[in-house]
Amino acid sequence: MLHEIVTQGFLFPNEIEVLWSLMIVLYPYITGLVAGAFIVSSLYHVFGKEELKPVAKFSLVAAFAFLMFACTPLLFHLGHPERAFNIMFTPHFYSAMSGFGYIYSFYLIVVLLEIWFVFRPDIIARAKSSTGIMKALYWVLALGSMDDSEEALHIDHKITLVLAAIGIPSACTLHGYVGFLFGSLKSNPWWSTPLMPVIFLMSAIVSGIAILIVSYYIVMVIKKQPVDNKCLKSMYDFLWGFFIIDLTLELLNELASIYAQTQSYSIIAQLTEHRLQFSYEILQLGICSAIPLVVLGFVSLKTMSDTLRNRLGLICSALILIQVLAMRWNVVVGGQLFSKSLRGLTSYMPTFLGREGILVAVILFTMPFVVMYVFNLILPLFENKGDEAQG
Amino acid sequence: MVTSRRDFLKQAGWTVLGGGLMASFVELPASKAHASSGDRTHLYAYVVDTHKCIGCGKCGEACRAENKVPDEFYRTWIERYTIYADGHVDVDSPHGGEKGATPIKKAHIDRSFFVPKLCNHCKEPNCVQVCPVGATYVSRQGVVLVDEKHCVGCGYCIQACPYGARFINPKTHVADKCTWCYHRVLKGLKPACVTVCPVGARQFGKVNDPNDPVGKLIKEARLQVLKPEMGNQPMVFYNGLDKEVR
Amino acid sequence: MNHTSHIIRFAVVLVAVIAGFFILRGFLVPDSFGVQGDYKYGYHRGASDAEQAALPALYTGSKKCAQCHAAETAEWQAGKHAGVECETCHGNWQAHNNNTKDKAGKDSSIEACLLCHGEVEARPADFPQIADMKKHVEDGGGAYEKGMLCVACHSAHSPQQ
Ligand code: HEC
Ligand code: HEC
Ligand code: HEC
Ligand code: HEC
Repeated sequence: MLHEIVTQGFLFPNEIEVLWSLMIVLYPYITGLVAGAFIVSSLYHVFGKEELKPVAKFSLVAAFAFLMFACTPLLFHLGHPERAFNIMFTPHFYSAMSGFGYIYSFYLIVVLLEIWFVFRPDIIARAKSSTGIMKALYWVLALGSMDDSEEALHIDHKITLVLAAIGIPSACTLHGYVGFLFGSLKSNPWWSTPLMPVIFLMSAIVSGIAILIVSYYIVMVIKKQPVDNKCLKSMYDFLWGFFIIDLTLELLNELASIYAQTQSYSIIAQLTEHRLQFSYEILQLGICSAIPLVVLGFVSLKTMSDTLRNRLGLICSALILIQVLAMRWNVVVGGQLFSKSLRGLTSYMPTFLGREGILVAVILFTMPFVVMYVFNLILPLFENKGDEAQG
Repeated sequence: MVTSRRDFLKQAGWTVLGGGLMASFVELPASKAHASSGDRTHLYAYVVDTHKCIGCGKCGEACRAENKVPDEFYRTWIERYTIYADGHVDVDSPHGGEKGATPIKKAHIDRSFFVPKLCNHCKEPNCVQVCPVGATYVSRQGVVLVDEKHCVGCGYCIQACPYGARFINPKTHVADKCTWCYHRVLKGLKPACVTVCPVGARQFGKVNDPNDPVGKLIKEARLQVLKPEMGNQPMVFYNGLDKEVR
Repeated sequence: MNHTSHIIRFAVVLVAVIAGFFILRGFLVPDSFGVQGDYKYGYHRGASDAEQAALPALYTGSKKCAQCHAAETAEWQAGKHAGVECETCHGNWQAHNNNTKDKAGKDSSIEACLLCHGEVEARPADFPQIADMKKHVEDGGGAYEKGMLCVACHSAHSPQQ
């Protein structure tokens, strides 16, 4: 199962092995989902997009669940995970990476706060209606305060608004920052472009919306409830809009590189031709971009039956999820496949088992969904239409 | 309007709290600043003469022994460039050049030469700039070092180094690189690679000492550095660098 | 009625967590951590410098060898290998110090000489190189035998003879 490293041309002898592995591909991917999911929830909370109400809570919790696991791939990658907190204990702020601990924590607090305020009425309601250990749990979650009076909720609502407003720049910072991590490395011509943070941010938003569409759809199918078509339609529209920006930037970046033909161009051309042909040319810039771009256009602009629209929308969302994953792979792995001598290429294939293998990646990626599931057991992610009818 | 005043107070409270937090972030670096004082100077320089190198690989061997460098990773290595008459450029460095060089067919070769490589101990090292935890730094003598007890092993410095001089040590799981034999240099010895070089292709000395051959070379000879466009200002200087060398 | 008690509670929890972080940090950051020179390049654990400086030096240079191998050193100094340190050929002093009986460092094989003297295009043209042992011996006016060593004619320490 071990992948033979295939080199071509000359590499500096320390460059043969790719250092940032699948885990570092997963890290910006998950982080991106956070940013995207949070933006959707903010569209409702801050910008008053009423049609997104059905997924407002869900998207917030999704952002939280992905956020919880955004760092875990890094822990699997670090040489000394037990020293991970050094990044917050002795931060060297000249490093683009050092801000991560603080930006992440700040954002985590914002999201937690927002979740708490949004769910407080639910917590209190459940605290009142449940018994025994569950009652204790809800009591702890409510921090012992059972104040769900009109005035209190009014204050909560205002705070939610402020938090969501703080959250948007935080989400953008968090993800733009991940792009900056790569974009700021002058030593690597594949990474070093000021467009990188913007591309990361846009693809983050796109992937976040896409994963919400897909998981909302699946959850509703599992719950045997009808999907809210207006809500989905609105998400398709946003998805298309952001995807256009995302793709434009990616193509612009590619075009600029081709046109400028700097010293590194020939190795970059070899890289995309020999090493990233499938993941870059075919997936990222090919089918996973062209199809969603065109089809989502139709979905957004043309009237069609709900079923057809949802089918197309779902396929496009899935393709976009692949596109963004491919983009992360191409950036992270691609940037390490060529030598900084600009004279050679190496190769990389993740192992299946092992600390940084595919299995771990799959497990890590599933964990946020487990978190959402557990969360849903404790607090409702969706307004239950049946409940409302009864109440 | 009692509520709104309360509201305002609350907001103000948050703002103060947030501000305080921000302030403490900024203070973080300084809060424990009682390490040894003293300014940094770039005391040393290293000169590689590519015209002299015979590619015997003794330097790599000595470096490995002196610094316990793990197999298949290199603190220093020797590249061989061969430029053929048809313009084709061939670069190789089998085992980092440590086992010497094998002869190649002479035909159609325009020129061929060895280029020893090592950490450039730059004046503006971007590997140090990007370290998130302060585990790599420039010592008071201007030597770029890694603190293996503090490094988290993220590998960012390795990505940042334009010269491929760094690697993750598979035994210690932290970043590792040439230290110019810091432990030797401070004892008045030369780095191990310089000590064993049979032909003087590797030289090490003090920049500002006019009696030091290296100090003199840096002043008088027309030397180049690798990838000057990176702006890192290497302190390893090369004599006879070819345009093909990167 | 006061409707902000829950907010205060949350704030207390939050402040406690943040305070906990800073207290923990106070304990866990090494004492010598700080800035030396400038924050950009000098932010580190101060004790690290001394730790690295204290590592043992394995290669000591020819002066050390001269203490016990005066004859070889004298011969070496007079010859064309005077620019080549003893340890370049014999390995580092520390390994020798651990075991003087170890003869691994004394390699008189042809390959040991050819590592430097074998003909390689990339070597400087003025460096003495041998392309072919047989031809070299015959050029020198000798008779070539299989398994002949360079040290049969040249002294390893003073090789011009
Ligand atoms: C403390 C004294 C001492 C020093 C200093 C010393 N040696 Fe030795 N060396 C010895 C002794 C004792 C032997 C063993 C002689 C024997 O077995 O016949 C030896 C043996 C050797 C031999 C092998 C001789 C053989 O016949 O196999 C070599 C080669 C050698 N030394 C090289 C060196 C070099 C190079 C240095 C400097 C780095 C050095 N020595 C420094 C004491 C010393
Ligand atoms: C060019 C490589 C080279 C250098 C430089 C060199 N030696 Fe040697 N040395 C050899 C070889 C090869 C032999 C084995 C000679 C033989 O078998 O005839 C040897 C043998 C020896 C021996 C064993 C002598 C014996 O009679 O068996 C000693 C001791 C020794 N060297 C010490 C030194 C010292 C001290 C220096 C530095 C002053 C030094 N060598 C420099 C290559 C070298
Ligand atoms: C570490 C590299 C190295 C090794 C190993 C080495 N030599 Fe040398 N040798 C040199 C250098 C450097 C010179 C000096 C060349 C010069 O003066 O240009 C030299 C010079 C010589 C000369 C004199 C050349 C002349 O121009 O007169 C002879 C002969 C010689 N070596 C033989 C040997 C033999 C025999 C061995 C094996 C025992 C050997 N060398 C091993 C580096 C080495
Ligand atoms: C039969 C004895 C003999 C053997 C064996 C021998 N050489 Fe020589 N070598 C000579 C003689 C004689 C000269 C001097 C030739 C001259 O000055 O033209 C010489 C000269 C040299 C020179 C100097 C050449 C120059 O161009 O200045 C080198 C280097 C050298 N030998 C290396 C070696 C090496 C390395 C080996 C082993 C591979 C070796 N020799 C084996 C006899 C020998």
